[in-house]
Amino acid sequence: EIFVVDDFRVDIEKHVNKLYEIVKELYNNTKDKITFWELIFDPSPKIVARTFLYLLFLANMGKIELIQEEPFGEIFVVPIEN
Amino acid sequence: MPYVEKLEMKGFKSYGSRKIVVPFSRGFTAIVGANGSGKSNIGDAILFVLGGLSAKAMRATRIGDLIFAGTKDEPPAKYAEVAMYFNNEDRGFPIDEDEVVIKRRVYPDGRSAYWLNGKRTSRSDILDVLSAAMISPDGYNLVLQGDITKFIKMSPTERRMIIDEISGIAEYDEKKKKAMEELKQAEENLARVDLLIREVKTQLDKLEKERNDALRYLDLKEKLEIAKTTLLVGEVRRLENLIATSQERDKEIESEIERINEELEKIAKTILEKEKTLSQVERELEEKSEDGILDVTKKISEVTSQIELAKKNIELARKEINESKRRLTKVKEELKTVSEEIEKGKSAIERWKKRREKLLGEIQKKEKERNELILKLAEIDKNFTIAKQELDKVEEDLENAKKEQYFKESEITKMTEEIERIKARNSQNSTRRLVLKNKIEELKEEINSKKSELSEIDSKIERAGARVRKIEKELEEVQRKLEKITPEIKKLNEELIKAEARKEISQNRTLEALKKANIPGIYGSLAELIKVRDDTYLTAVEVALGSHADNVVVKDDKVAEKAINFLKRNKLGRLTFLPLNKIRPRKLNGTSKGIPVMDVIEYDPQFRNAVSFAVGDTLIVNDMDEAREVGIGKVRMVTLEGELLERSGAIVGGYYRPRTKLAVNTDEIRMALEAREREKEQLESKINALKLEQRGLERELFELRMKKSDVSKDLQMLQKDMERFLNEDKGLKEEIEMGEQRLKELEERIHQTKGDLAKLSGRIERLEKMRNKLRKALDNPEARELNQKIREVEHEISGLREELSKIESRLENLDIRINDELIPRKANLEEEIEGLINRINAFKASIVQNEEDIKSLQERLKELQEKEQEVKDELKSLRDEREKLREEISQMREEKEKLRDVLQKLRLEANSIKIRMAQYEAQLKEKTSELKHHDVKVVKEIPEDLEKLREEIEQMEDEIRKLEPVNMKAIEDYEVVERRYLELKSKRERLEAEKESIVEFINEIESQKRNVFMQTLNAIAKNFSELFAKLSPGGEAKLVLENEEDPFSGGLDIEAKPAGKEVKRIEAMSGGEKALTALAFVFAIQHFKPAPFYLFDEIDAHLDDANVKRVADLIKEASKDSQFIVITLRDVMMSNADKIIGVSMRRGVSRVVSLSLEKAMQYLEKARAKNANALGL
Repeated sequence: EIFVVDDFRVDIEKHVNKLYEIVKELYNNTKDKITFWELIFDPSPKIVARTFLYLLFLANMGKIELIQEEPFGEIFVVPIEN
Repeated sequence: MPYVEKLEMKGFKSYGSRKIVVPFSRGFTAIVGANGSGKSNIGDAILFVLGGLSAKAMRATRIGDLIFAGTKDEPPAKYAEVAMYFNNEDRGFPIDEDEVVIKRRVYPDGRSAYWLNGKRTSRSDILDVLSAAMISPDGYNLVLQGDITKFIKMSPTERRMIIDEISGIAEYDEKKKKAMEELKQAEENLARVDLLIREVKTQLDKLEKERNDALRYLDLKEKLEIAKTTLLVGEVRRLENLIATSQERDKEIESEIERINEELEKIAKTILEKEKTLSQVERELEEKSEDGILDVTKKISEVTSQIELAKKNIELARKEINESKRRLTKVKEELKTVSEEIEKGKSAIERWKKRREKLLGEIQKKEKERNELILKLAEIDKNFTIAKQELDKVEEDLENAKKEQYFKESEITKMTEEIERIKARNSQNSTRRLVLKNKIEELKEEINSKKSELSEIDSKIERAGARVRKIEKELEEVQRKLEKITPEIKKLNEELIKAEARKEISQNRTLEALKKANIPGIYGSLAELIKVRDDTYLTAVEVALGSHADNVVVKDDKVAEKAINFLKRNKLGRLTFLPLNKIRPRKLNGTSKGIPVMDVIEYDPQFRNAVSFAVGDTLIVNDMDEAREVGIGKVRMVTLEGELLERSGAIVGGYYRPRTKLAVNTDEIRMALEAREREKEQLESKINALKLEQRGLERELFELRMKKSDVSKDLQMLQKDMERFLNEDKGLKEEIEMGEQRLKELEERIHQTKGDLAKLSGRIERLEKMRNKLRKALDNPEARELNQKIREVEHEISGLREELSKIESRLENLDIRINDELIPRKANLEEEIEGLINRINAFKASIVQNEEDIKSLQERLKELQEKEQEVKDELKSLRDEREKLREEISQMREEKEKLRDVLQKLRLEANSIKIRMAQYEAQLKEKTSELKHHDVKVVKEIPEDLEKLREEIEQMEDEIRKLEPVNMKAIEDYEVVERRYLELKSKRERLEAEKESIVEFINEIESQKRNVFMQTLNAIAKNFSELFAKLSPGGEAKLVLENEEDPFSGGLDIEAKPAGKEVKRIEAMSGGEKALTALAFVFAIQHFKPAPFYLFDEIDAHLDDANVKRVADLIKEASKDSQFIVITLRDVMMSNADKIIGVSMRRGVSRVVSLSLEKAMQYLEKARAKNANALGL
């Protein structure tokens, strides 16, 4: 039980970093804000939920900015350059 | 059901000063985000806006801490504000709006303000509105972080109270409370009536007794008259009978007397004849027994004893002869053996004497031979003997010297060994002493520290003891006060009830009804407004007031009019009113005697005129005498006993029954009672405090004493150790000293012994040399041979001498035996033989003589016996005749005496009959005249036993006397009081029935309450078991009441058995198991009665993915009925949600992003289809 949770949490960092790389790459290609949908590669609820969570982690880490104009509206992702 | 549409926050915790909107919707909303980003603050905001008061529950130290504290880039907020928007389209809130907004703001000083739909309001109003929709800041539907196990941790009773609340049984409790109040009222009424009943009953009992006495008295009087008449008639008849029987008897007696006299004469004649014959017989008998018989008997006994004597002599002589013969044979035998022994001894002496002669000759010969040999040896060497002696001596010396030498040497070895030993021992002891010294130092320190500890404990004990004693004293004092006060309270209580009862009796109903009308300006009746200063005047003042007591004092005539109209309208009776603006006081005509009534009463000065109107003209006097002094008719007067003397001269008096209108003051008693009760409470609380302190101190004392005994024990042990060590050290020191002394001594002795040894060696050498020389000198063969011979001869001589001495002693023995023993013995024996033979002959002669005597004596005896028999026969016949005559005479005399007695008795009887007859006649006359005063007709039957009747009469008279004086009026009075008593009884029954119906009602409520509760619980318990099985497949769980009989006296237990495990106590379950059990409980309630929304903060922290999935499914399903807001970090949970609120923190400020998972899925589905199309699939 505990092992599973730990495994998942250890993996988080890896997944988060990978997602960050993707965001940066997309941004470098278009130099425009990225929509949340662009980051979903498998439309299962679990993947959507995870991706959303990782984006929140990245935002918390100060690596990206999440922009939303209205509740439940389109979510835009912009990497932050230091 | 209402649900949360959105939450607006401003300046709340990490959410910065700008307004943040968190959108919610129906169904399942997940709040996600990294740890520390501010997820849980949304939960806190919900708690806050719902009116939560506990800062701790919102994870803050103070309510003021909820305000955004500022960052580098942003200033702190001035206040925190949260608004919650509820959808109220179905009117779940009792407000006629589609949307209900509650808002709360808190300022840094902790002050809160609330708004409801934009209007300022109070917290309690908010809570009321919320609770109408079944929402509360501490409801079970809000599960905060780490709080999921609260349902496990809470006590069974708290858990049951959740069910209580859900089932809504509070309503019944409210009803029950009201009913209980009614019950109390009913019981009080009952107590009051009981008191009245008791008083009336006492009166009734007394009257009943008096009535019964009166009835009995009347009855007795009647019966007595009948009994007395009956007795008289009976006695007259009895006397008549008696006289008749007496006359008859008298005649009988006279004829009997005549008959007896004749018989007596006949008997006297016969006695005379018999006596003559008797004296003749007696004379004859005397003559015959005088001589004859006595003489013969004497002679017979003489002869018989002579014969006996002779027989005994013969027997004795025969025994003697036999004895002597036996002795003779024995003596003869002995004489023979003695003679033989003498012969043998004499011949042995001869033989031994010859042998002695021979031995003496031999000894002489040998002695001569020895002397010759000695002479020869002396000639051979004169010096030999001397040398021999010297050698012997030298050899002995030598041996001694050698022995001594050996001894000394071994002594030296021993001493050396001992020295070694002592040295080793000493060094060992020295090291031991060093060790001991250290130990002793340590012990000293320890002992000192224990001693100081002990003295500290002692002083503590003393302090605590003193305090305990002080407390005990205080307690005793307070207790004493309390004991004093308790009976006072009881007494006051009784007084109060009595006073109230009395008050009720004395109340004027019309007046009471008027008072209830609440017309302003009515002050009350005079009786109520007046207070008598001294009870002595109570009766007087009451009488003086008279009917004025019920007069009502009013402000003015208008008020009086109003009151009168009221009474008229309600048909309540009539009253006299004293309007203060109109009423005129009355004055007392000047007089110096008595006391004016006005002077003994107290009243409010504004009522002076009214009071004076009633009693202003009245004077109190002690008694009628004083009244006469004042002058009857001059002034209105009243005596202390209540006689009223009107000015008109009319005097009212008699027994006065106090109306007690004045003395009844329940308020005063009640106040006194309350004061006492307060005092009692204070005393009791003081006792409690003191007892608490006392217990504490006693516990402390006990602990201190335990500690003291421990420390003293330790100290004792230490001191014992110390003593032991000191003793050991001392012992060791002494031993070392002694060892050293001994060493010195030993060394000295070794030195000395060595010197001795050297001397001894020289001596031994010398002695050995001398011995050798002497041995040589003694070596001569001739001398040795002679010596040998001499020794042989001497040996032979000594053998012979020995034999000689033996023979001589034997000779001597024989001689003694013969001369001193045997010869005298022989002479004695011969003499004895001769004596014995003479004796035998003498006895034989005696036997012959005696035998002859016996023969002649027996002949004489026979003659005598014959003579004796003759005399005896003659005497016997005479005696028989005499006895017969004597008996006959005495019988006759007895008969004569008997007849004389009878005669005497008959004469006496005749006399007494005559006397009695005279008496009877007198009595008869008396009774007959007495009977004339009574009515003979009442006599129905005359009993046999007139004595019994007389006794009955006496008893009746006695009883009548005892009954007197009789209160005949009691018969009527009893009926009046009995009616009153029965009325009260029926009133009591009504009240009792009323009380019972209330009790029944309460029971009804109780059972309804229980039913409602059990229905709720059973439904929830069923849900719980099902849900638990769903969440923990294969597991089982139950909700169990601690007390099935009375659910409200116990709590509610959870029994859970997770899959594949034994039954576990819930405390022993893992975090995950606890969370699942708690969730089953929450959902069980939700299924039964859903709350509008649920907030779960990280309930899934301890669950594995499979369990999270189960919980998520359950939430998803439950979210059809209620709104669920779930804060989580788990993707499994998130992916089940309808909406996801993401929280992230940027530069210390939390922000919110929202995602509709439904929409996302639709969108993605569409995009994928588009892509598929584009790719031509």
